[in-house]
Amino acid sequence: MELLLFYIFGGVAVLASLGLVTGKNPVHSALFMVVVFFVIAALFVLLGAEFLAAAQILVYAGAIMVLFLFVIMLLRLQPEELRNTSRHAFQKFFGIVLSLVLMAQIALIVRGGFFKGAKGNYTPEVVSGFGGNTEAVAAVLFTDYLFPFELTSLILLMAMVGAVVLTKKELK
Amino acid sequence: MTPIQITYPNMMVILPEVVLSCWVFFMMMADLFIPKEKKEINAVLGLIGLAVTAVSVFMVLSYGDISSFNDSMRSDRFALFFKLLFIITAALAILISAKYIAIEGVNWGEYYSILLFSVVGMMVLVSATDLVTVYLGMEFMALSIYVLTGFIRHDVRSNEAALKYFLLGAFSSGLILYGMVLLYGVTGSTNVYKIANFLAANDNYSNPLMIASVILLISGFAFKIAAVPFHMWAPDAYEGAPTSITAFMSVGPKAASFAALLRVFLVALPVMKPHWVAIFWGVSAISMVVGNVVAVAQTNIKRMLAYSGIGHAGYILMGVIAGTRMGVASVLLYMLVYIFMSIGAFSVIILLRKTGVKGDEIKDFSGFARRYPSLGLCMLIFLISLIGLPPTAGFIGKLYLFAAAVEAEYYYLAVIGVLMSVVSLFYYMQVAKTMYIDEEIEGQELVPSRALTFVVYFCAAATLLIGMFPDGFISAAMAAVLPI
Repeated sequence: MELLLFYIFGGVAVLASLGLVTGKNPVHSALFMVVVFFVIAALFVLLGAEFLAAAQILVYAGAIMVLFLFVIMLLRLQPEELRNTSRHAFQKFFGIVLSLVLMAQIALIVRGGFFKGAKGNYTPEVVSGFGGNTEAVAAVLFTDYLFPFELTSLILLMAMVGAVVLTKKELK
Repeated sequence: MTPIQITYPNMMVILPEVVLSCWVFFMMMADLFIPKEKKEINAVLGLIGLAVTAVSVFMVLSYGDISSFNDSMRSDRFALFFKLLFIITAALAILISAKYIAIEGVNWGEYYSILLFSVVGMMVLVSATDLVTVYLGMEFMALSIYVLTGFIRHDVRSNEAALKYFLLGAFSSGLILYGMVLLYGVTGSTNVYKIANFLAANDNYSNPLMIASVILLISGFAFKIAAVPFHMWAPDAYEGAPTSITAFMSVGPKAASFAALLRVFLVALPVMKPHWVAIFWGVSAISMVVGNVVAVAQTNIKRMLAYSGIGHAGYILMGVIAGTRMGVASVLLYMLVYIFMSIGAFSVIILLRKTGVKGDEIKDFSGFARRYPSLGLCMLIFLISLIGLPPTAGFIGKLYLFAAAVEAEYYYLAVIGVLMSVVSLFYYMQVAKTMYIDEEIEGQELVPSRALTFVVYFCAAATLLIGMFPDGFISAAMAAVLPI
């Protein structure tokens, strides 16, 4: 059952990614990307990472894709410009080459043995000891990574003030 | 499910950061009640905040070497030395800003809040002993500086500088982050001490992932310290930014990035030293050459100082490459020295700024020293110090850097450094010649700001003082060296 779901979601992810890169209309590509984010979130659920799945949907499918769509719509690309893809030939070439390199790398990692690294600390047993994925993330976030967590709020405050200063129409 | 046990952290470790952050919150609130024509009060508030923070730094100093938050932050003398440097830098930057941002027409309270926020970020960065806190401190510092670079909203050059700086900065953050991720993947930890222990216990440094990680980290850090080949943003950002911010970012973020670089490479990756030294050697040499040679061709003094800053990053990297106690101490000493000569030189540029005239071309300095002999003399002192000639602080700083390189047997690097110092003599003296020999020009009035002239005289005095009586400063730098 799990394997079947994995193949369904994985297949949808691959098809949607293909639609994303081959799509002519940027809005379609953006919507394909939303689909990719959703099925990846589903894959996270299959791996027992519910928190990550929720964060994936909220942050990527929610916030970041809305931003993308805003940018696309603000740019208001004309249909003629969209069809003129010949100048992207250079990019296309490198895109394909780099994708192949990435695929080779992933294949090497999957085969194992080439890149050696330490074993992670958070095995399924440790995570279930916390009571689940969400609980484990919370426990780590509020103990080991308490300071980075709090610091992020300061950074966001600063970024907010900065954004207002740079864009507000009239400053007093 | 057991409830999360949160152990109370030792807050003394981050006391200076907490004090300054709270002060910034207060300043943001206070700004709402300060009338438009009295925004200078913000500058005064900022200085008070920095003074209070300096007191807290000295308080923490008596606690010795302490760490907290799961060993992700450490308050040792190395960090506190840099924190004091940032407080001095920010104080000088605020003093030269007060009048200047009014002339530029951007006299808003947020300027000071964001400036102090970037100081908080730099303080986090120098205390960070965990890759996560290193990254967050770096982003905090950098995001503030991006905003400040674009602070003159109505000036296209300022916008362009901020955008370029932001895009390239975001890219370099990505590189650093990628390097950190690979490091975490290999060692299973983000803590610099745990990484060092793992690498020492496991023969892992021939791992291709480690090499990739080191290359990515170096690329990211080289961007932050504006070293060749990741220096392209510096001249544009320096030229377009408000001059007071140029002065600040030529010193503060550079010092903070060097501190983080020292911690990451000397503490976490000592076993990788042969690999990263080889890359840094090239970066250092090429930075010295490109920075100093290209500076010769500049007509804008801010761009010239940007290229000279690239060269200086190359000199300072020599101390990192040496990697000895002496090398680290010479980096600390040079950062201290660099504050006064760099901020001093930029303050003189600000003196010539007035409505309608930028005053940042070299020819704007024609006859400056004949018209204003004492200020001209100060500028001459800064230039001599930037070249690295006695009796100024720049000489002491460079002497120690070169000595560290020679002691660690990097002779060629030291030779390149000395040769490039000779090249720098040419373009710095070009400015001196313009000031002393060229005809005086019309409209060379100074910005009427006592704070600004005070900074110029203060920096000149400090440059001479460190140059002539360096013993106390050298021992301070030696005492603050990382335990390696």
